[in-house]
Amino acid sequence: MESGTLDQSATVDELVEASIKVFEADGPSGDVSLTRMFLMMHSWYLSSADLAKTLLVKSQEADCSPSRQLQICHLIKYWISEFPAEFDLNPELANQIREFRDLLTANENDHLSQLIDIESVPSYSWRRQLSDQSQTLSKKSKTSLLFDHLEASELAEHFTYLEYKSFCKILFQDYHSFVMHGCTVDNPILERFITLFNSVSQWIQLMVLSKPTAPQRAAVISHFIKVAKELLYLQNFNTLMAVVGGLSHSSISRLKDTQALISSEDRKVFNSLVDVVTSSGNYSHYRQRFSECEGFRFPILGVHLKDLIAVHVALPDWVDRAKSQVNLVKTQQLYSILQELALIQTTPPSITERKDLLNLLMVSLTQYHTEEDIYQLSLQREPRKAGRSMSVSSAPTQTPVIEEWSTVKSKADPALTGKHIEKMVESVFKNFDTDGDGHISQQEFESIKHNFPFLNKFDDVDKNEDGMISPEEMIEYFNKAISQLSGKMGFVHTFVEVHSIKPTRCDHCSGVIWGPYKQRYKCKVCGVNCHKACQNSLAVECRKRTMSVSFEEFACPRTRSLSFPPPLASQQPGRGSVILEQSRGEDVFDTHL
Amino acid sequence: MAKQYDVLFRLLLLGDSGVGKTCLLCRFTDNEFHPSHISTIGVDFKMKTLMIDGIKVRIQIWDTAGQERYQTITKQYYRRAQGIFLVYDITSERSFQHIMKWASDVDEYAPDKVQKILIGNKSDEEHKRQVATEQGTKLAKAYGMDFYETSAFTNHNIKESFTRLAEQVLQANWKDLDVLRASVTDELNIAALEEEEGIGDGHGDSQKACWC
Repeated sequence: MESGTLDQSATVDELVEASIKVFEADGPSGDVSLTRMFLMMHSWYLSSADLAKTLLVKSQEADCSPSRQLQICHLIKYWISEFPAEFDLNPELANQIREFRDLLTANENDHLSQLIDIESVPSYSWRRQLSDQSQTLSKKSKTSLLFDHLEASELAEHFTYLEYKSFCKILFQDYHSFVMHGCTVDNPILERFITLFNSVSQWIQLMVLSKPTAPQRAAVISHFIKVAKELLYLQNFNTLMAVVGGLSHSSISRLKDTQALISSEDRKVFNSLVDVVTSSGNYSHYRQRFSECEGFRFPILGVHLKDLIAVHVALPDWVDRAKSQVNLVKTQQLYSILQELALIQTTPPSITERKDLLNLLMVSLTQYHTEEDIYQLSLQREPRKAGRSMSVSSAPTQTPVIEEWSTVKSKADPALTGKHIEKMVESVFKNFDTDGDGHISQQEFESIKHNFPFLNKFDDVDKNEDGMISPEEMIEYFNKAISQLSGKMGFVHTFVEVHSIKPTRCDHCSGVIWGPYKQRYKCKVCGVNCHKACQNSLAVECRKRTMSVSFEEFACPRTRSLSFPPPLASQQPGRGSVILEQSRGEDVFDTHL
Repeated sequence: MAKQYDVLFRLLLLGDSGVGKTCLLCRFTDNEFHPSHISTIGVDFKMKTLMIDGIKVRIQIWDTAGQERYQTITKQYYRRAQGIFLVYDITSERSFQHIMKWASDVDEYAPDKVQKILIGNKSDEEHKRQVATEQGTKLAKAYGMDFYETSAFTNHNIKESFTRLAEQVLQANWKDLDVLRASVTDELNIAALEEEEGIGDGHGDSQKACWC
């Protein structure tokens, strides 16, 4: 009956009514697909609390028969059971439902009020915490944690485990917010997921570049090609994209000496993997393969995020000017993408994880490097002029990644990172302290070194210079390194202290920043403000594109070759005007934040 | 089979999140999607053919919207682009400042011959303007680019700017046009394939709605 008219467009009320009618006295009857779509997608048109309120009002109308009341309660029950997270995370909605329930109880409709029980909804907030806490017991395995000894399949599985875990935290609300903003705004879960993806790419580049000689680098590349192959086997396209992206990044592809040493067999494999994730034909190769997968499969989320944005932008929410008719074609399209993503969260991979290795990877991936740093390292390894490559690659390399920063940098949540580091160091000692004396000797250290491209010299870690590294020394070293790298995944800001002349709102705690002396921290890149005390907990993305380049660096890119006329470095008027604009821009941000 | 076009170019839209890249594209292609099944073809805008100097130029436009934070994904688009739109939002000073960062990325990752054009989008939102037209002109001049202020909302300068960039790419590749024709044969096949799938109406289940 109504299905004919609800194909292209419908009013919200028609959709609510159609959803109610699907239910009978004892639950859903017939096709719930439209109901399910509407319950998932309604927030494009009205808030969840408003939808709950609408249902409450309908149930209290004078002509609402008891059987209709029952239908409405079954609809709410269905809503709670299909989308429990919303009821846990949206207090306004939860209150609305409780109000409804109280009303039913007051009217002695106990059998109805029992249907809409949200008290048994599990808590989602802990699942959405950014910290990763593996619940599994650590196995007493003494297998190697050395990168060189790690099986490609093992590495691929653990990447998959970490990324999938991060992926499962993403809920409809996060996608909705992303689509509405066109980017990640106040969206730490999604932000974190994307950052993990970027970290994998970066880590791979660093692992390659950490090797001083071309044959060693070629061996690492070949190893990662194997990892990529394993990822394809696991049907983990997301990490596959990250690995392939890292290996084809210019910092790696430009290493001519290294690339020449990759076997033609490996090269062939690599090219076929590149072909799987190529963007050509709108990722048609990937889409085809992905649609044919059975069992666990892990999509390249970036591709699907792009689809969401494209549908959202291209199609109007409503088909009429008065905004009364919902554009169901759009709803259906968005729903099919989101539904597919949601289904993936219900089909986990079968992986037996090793906690030690996870801890190690977690810390390795938390190291935040800038693209510029990595490119510099690449230039050091194989300088542009071919003739000099020999002398430089054998020279002791200064690692450019740990350096003093002149400005105040935001740090990772110290407690959280600290915990990661402690766990990792524990794992390291368990596996590397081969003679079991509670200390890492110089010899033992040499083998660990390969896992951490940025780990410098034994002496740097051995603070008291007794020729041994104790767990405390190692923890201290990592804590220091990470705070200097401002190693928080995602929310890296370049804070400067500002005198607060006028009261400003803190973007973390929403409190007023008000005080005579340097109470206010302001990110000089994105303009975000917060209390000095709040800087570490601020979960707001720094909305410039890469972490590396502060505005000053635009003006004089350090070593990049510019085919553009360098307008800012050489033309004084140009430079002056831009700087002027920047300072003017600061005020603009203030008023618009 | 009659050739539908003489040459195919790939153009890329770059710029901060939210400057309206997808809107521009959407406007230019008259909201035409591939009506194909979403999970296998994805959401893609139809390509458009322009006539420039008697040559049928087919342009395929890549949009990085939603992927700006993915460093490795976006870099992959650069390599095969022949023309690039650097887009900022005239109501966002920051998006304008970031043009320089995007431009240096282009320099690093895109082919040497790549053509660039500067776009100040959302010109209809005059009351919220933060970037003066002269600032855009000046920056474009410094980089040796053409400059347009556009509005996807009022359709201002959309076709003009896309045509202009296509012209530039055509000019830059004029000498190699014959070579280029040869090298697009593969692409031609893909394009033909995509179009065939688009015409096919065998996806009758839930996707029968018309997009146009």
